[in-house]
Amino acid sequence: MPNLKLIAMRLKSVTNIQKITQSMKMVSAAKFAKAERDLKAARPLGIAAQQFYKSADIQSDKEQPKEIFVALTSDRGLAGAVHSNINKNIRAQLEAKIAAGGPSAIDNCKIICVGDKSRAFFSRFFPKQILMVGNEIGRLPPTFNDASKVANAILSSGYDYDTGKLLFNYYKSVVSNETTELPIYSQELVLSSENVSVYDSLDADVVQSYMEYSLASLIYYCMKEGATSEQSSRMSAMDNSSKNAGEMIDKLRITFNRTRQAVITGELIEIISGAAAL
Amino acid sequence: AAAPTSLTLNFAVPHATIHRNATIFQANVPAVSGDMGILAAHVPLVDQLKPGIVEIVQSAGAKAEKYFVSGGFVTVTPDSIINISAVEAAPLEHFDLETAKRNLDEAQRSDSPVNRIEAEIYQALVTALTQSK
Repeated sequence: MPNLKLIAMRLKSVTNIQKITQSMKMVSAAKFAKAERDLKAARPLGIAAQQFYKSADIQSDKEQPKEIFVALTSDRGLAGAVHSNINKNIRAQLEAKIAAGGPSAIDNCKIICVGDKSRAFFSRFFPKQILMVGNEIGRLPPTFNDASKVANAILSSGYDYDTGKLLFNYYKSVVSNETTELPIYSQELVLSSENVSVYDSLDADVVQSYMEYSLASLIYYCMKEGATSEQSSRMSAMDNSSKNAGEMIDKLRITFNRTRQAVITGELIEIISGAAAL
Repeated sequence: AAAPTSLTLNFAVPHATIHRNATIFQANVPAVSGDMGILAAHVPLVDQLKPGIVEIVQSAGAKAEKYFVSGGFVTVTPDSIINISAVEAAPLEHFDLETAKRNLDEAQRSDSPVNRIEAEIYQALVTALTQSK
């Protein structure tokens, strides 16, 4: 029969866990409200930034274009499935390439890990593909400044990519978000695309400036979506956690009471049998 | 296809949306290659904006709404949608001429790249405010 003291200790620790997850849920709910407001303002910017590339419909014609994957996660865990969804998505894409073309097929693919969660994952599975790592993400809401820093790092990384994908979680509702990818292109690809020549007075300088600016805008938009998805996912995860902890506390209390009564009954039996022996 | 007869405007900064899918008559933007007025069925273009005034005219003959932008980009797509994206923008009435002049003097005192950019923006702001008086 488990020791009364052990059950009491376990009961106390589970109660503490419930308090902690409750308060994490409250904090996440507050951050989520702010993130959702910011997202409402940022969504038109993201849509406008994508419009140029959508209407230009740029395709790469190289056989094995140099690709980069930008995994927009954050440093903080306990957020449900948000980080692992992005990580698994990238891993599945890389493994599909390996299955199609052998292990050397991914030599042209590099990963930029924004946030410790993606860094930890990829340093286990694809350490050679990691190009850059960014941390100190997730503590504060993302600003345009942060996005510019990431965009700057990508463009000045020295890696001459042809196409790229920004992976983030698109926020659909409090209970659902979807892993989405946005395409990014290199300057040569944009300049050589036929739809782009329709634009008047477009020279290399303007394209370069525009691509720097729109990369920062797109990353800002993805970071805002990601932050909102992360906070809502953490809110639900912590809520489920507190509910589970509550159930465990109920079960433990019942066990505790039964054990306590069993101990008392045992003592009584000893006393009675001792008295009967006299 | 017939040439589009209206201009649809999206005007946004990272932290706010000023206009979204708004049908307007004309937009005047301070492009780096020169100030230009954009009407419906303008040729598609992409241009960088220097610090200055963006004017939005909702319908022919209406009074222009003036916004000061710190810089950004303007794109016009082949289907007559104009996107103005700025890092910072605010209605011109929200700015104070005296404070702008003071900040311009401070910025001009030193020559670091940040101060030079600040000076350029404040200069444009002071010019815009004095012209609109």
